Amino acid sequence: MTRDPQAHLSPEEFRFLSEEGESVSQGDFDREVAEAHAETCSLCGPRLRSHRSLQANLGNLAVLVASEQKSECPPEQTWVTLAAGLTPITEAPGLLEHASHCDHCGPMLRAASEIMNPEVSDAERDLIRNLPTVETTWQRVMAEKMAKASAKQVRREHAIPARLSTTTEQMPSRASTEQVATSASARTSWLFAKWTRWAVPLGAAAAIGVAMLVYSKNSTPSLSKANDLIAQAYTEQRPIEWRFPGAGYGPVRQQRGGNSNPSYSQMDEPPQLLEARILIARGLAHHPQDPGWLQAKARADLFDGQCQSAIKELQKALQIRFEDASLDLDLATAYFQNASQDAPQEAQQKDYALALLSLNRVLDKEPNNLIALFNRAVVYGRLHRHDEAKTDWLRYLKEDPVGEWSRAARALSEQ
Amino acid sequence: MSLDELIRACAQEGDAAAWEEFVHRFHELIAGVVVRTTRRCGSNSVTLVQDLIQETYLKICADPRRLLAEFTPQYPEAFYGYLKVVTSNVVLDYFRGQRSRKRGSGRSESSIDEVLTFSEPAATRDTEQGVHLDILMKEVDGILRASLDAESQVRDLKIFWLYYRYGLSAAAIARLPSVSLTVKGVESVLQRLKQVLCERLARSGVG
Repeated sequence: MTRDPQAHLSPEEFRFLSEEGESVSQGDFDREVAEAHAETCSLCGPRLRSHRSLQANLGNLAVLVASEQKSECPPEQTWVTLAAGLTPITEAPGLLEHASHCDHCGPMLRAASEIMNPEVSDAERDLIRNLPTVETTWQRVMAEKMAKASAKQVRREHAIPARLSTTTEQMPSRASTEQVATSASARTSWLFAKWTRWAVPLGAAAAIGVAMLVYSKNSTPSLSKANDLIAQAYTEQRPIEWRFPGAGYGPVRQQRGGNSNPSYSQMDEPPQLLEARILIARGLAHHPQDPGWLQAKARADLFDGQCQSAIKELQKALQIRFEDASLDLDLATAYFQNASQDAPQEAQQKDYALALLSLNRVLDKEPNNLIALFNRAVVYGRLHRHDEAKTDWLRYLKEDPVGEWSRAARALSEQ
Repeated sequence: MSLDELIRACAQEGDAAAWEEFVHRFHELIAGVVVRTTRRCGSNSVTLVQDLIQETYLKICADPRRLLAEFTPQYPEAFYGYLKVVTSNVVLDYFRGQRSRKRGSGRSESSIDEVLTFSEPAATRDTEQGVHLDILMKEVDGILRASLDAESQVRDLKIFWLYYRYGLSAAAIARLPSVSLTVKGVESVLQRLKQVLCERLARSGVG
């Protein structure tokens, strides 16, 4: 239906025109005609301005970042439970009263509500549909693991009463064995008893061993564990001055050099890296094209200074998962590290430029990625683009003003 | 198979077919919470999402009796809530552990607000703006308290501040326990309160 241009604005129209950009259903509302009326009407014009001014003021009241937790604030887990609808109805009003006036708990409740939102957005649904976890094979394997784990747990829970009843039942049996021992076949029984004493535990141990072997060959190792181990290795022996995802601060120890270093041995590597390599080998055996495992291998290779092979692995992973910012971040590390090795100056500058391109891609996707920002400041420094380096350092220090990385950033920014 | 039958089959019989049905039925719910929580914690890694989904399933089956204990046929929604809480805890624990390790401070755990990323405020406020907003907030609160009847005041003020100060959507507020309103109901409360404010503030020259 067409709107009468002379009709005054309805309350709904005031709302639609003042809440521009908000998620309100606007139905067949004719914005242009309503706006045109407000511009010429001496009643609706001032009223709409008043609505808009109020809307702007209310927008300014928003607190989107959680402030410090206060002593009277309930534990943070409270908001997750509340947003999931698990808080008893008698406790909910008091908690909501607190959250509606607390600059720590209000934003926490909002975050929890967003996480618990039962509606899956189209973007989320698309992402979920492309996960390997939706595949029937993956779900079947997972279900088998779950069935075994739950059966094991149920058996464990039953084990205590069962063991107690077995002990009671065994008593008369032991007595009868003693009677048998006095008979003519006592020696045979003794030998049998002796044999079972070691054969049973040995058989059980062998069965467990075989089961573990079969399990370790068939089960997919945890990729996040492999990445954690690599990050721990980087924390322990940080090979270059820039930041690596997941790794803590540690002094730079440029001892690597890959196969080109004659004194280099894999036994010098942190034990976490050796453990990660085993997981990666098993992961790649199961999923040779999986971008996650390719990335983990590249990270382990970078630790050894094998930059070229890391670059190839990361480029391959990016062909499959081009939107993954963490792959670009690692690719930047590979180029940076490649440049830092003994390359001619021209090749060095090219690698730094490629590292910069990758970091720019990361920061386009994730503007608040502090690791990428830190690393980009380092690259700008190497490229003698000191003004841009300074801008990045200032921004980094604003976002991460305290701690060891912050001190490292200050030291690097003053070089 | 009803939800009740499915949970019993999983928890009591350790049946692989039942667990497969469980994974199939709850996959979108669990994956949705994992995706949203990892994003909220600042990560877009698809591989991590995949790993955390697997971790969640393993966590659920590690305590099959808990499944039964959490399920009440009269309130199936509570079971969905339980699964969501387990899932978000798996993800938050992962990021808390990461953060603690990264910091290397010896503290065993980070708090949840340290791992969640919050959107930036619209603009940085200087002291003068801050004072102005404090005054405005008190005035708004005063007007609303004076205009609302005692019966609805407590609920309506909660809705107002959760929406305008802390950014909860009308749908999120409607889902909160004890609010007892539909999304339309929450929107209607907000509209009414805004109307009151618009009139009063215009009269006092603030709006």
